[in-house]
Amino acid sequence: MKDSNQAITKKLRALMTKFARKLPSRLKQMEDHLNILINRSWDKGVAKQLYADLHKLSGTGTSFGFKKLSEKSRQMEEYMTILLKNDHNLQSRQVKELCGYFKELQRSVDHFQTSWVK
Amino acid sequence: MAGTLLHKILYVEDDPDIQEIARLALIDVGGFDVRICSFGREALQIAPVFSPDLIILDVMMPDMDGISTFKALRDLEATKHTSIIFLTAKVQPEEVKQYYAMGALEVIYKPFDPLTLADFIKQIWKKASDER
Repeated sequence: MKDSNQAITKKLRALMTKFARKLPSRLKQMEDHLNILINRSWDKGVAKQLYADLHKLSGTGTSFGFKKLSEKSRQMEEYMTILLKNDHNLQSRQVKELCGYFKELQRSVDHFQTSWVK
Repeated sequence: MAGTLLHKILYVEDDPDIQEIARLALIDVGGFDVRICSFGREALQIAPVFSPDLIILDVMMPDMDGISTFKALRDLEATKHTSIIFLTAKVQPEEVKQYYAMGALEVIYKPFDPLTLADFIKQIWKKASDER
């Protein structure tokens, strides 16, 4: 190992903090995309971007060991996969479900922020 | 190609967060000489100059995905025989079979543990070298 365990742990913690601090802006971007899908007509490009953002969040979150956050992100990502396959305007039931997933994710981010970022 | 000493790794990944974790995992923990590219096309420019022993390719990338990048790297004289590992969050068995059929040295699943990734890669490299 090139660096000492202590130095590596310190670097990893710094990366985790950086990740945590960026979370609100990432979530805001997702919310903007979500609002476009809900309030305007179905846009596959926007849906794909939202899917990609969720995919990245869940993947990075798991690598950092943030299980709950990743789980919520993964759930919404999986739902987006279904919507992308359907590829048409959202029905009211789908809007409700999608918003439900996003609220869960928001709650998880809020909880995470209070416990991690000081 | 496996069989030589593993020192230089080219890592192709578009997500800046994963790039940072990979730097920690491969440079700080693993002690490798690492170059990171954000896009497949960038990798095609860098690979012949950097001459990596191993290339790690993310599968899901915008513009040019991992599979297209793999094929393009195989078309370059400099990387025709370079060992390539796919790193993917997609776990569909059919897709994984396809990566091996293309000639991937290994398929590693995301998310990876930054503290153990380097050792895992060293094991893969040793196994491939022993089999040669």
